[in-house]
Amino acid sequence: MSEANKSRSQPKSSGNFKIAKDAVVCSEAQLVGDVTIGSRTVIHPTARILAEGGPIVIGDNNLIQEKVTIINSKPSNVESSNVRCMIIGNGNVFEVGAYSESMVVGDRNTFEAKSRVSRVTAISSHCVIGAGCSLDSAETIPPDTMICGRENRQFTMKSVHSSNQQQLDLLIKMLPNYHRLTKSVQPA
Amino acid sequence: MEQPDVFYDGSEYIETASGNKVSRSCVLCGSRNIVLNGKCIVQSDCIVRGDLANINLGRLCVVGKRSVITPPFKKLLGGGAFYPLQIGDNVFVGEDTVISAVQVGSYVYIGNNCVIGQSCVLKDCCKIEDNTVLPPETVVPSFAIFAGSPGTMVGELPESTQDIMSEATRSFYQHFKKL
Repeated sequence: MSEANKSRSQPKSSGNFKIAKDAVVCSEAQLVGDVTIGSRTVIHPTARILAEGGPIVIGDNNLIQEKVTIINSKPSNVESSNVRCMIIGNGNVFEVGAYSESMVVGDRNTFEAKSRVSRVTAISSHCVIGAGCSLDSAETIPPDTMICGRENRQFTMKSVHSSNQQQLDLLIKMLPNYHRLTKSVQPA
Repeated sequence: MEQPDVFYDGSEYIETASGNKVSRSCVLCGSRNIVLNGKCIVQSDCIVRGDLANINLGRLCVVGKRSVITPPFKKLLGGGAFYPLQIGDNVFVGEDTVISAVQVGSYVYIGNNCVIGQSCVLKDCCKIEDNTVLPPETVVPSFAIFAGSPGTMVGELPESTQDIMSEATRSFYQHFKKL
């Protein structure tokens, strides 16, 4: 049934992608613009990576789940001609429905379900943006921070290194059985 | 008090022999692992990830628009696994909800815009209010009402919840009519 859906309603990916050979990008994910994806990164269907205002570089071992929107938006003042590159580090997890416009994201962060990070916030490493939380302030979130709950309370976590490698390995094996994958756009 | 008729575009929904009505705009991955046990309604733009693990919806379930039903992932010593997601009968799931529970009982009401965390267990006859975020591995007991972020128990449901939910979902199905 999803074959029928695809021809009717699937948003088209367009643009120049450089996708590492061992990354898994489902074809139902939408990539627009100049997107670079590192090795062993998994992008689930219905994720959207929109490099509208500049390129997006996503590192290795990231997990980008359904309905995640990562958008390098065009700045509102059209005169500014500087094109800024959005850089996302390694080992990050974007859970279902997360929305990130942040231009600088470090390593090993977790963006839980339905979280929102605005363009002006920068995230360093090993942070957790809790489910449903939204960050609008122009600041850099220091490392090891956890932001959770309705009031967006901020805690400093002890450094516990939990890696996503098990899930990534399983997904890299399983997803190609069910999905067509998007590969790099070959230079003409 | 009678449920008003909700009309849908006939070309937008697929109706199966067992009375399941599934919107064509849904993204159903791994559809051979998704079992809808009859008279289920899966509304537009839902995402059901059967490719990761089996997903089983009981009879007369209603899944609201843009919801995501995805199996939970558990880290195990020998390498992790996605666990099958079992949803009971007469369950009403609101719009924009994310469900990663490992088990949802029967006669459950889940509101709009909720996040049911990984490996949660929702027992029969419970209610999750709108905009709730349930942390991973929460167990919601029967007849409990959970709300807030993080979800905590805020009330209790009456004993007639089973009849109320069963009547509500049956009536929703009856009034979900083709234009």
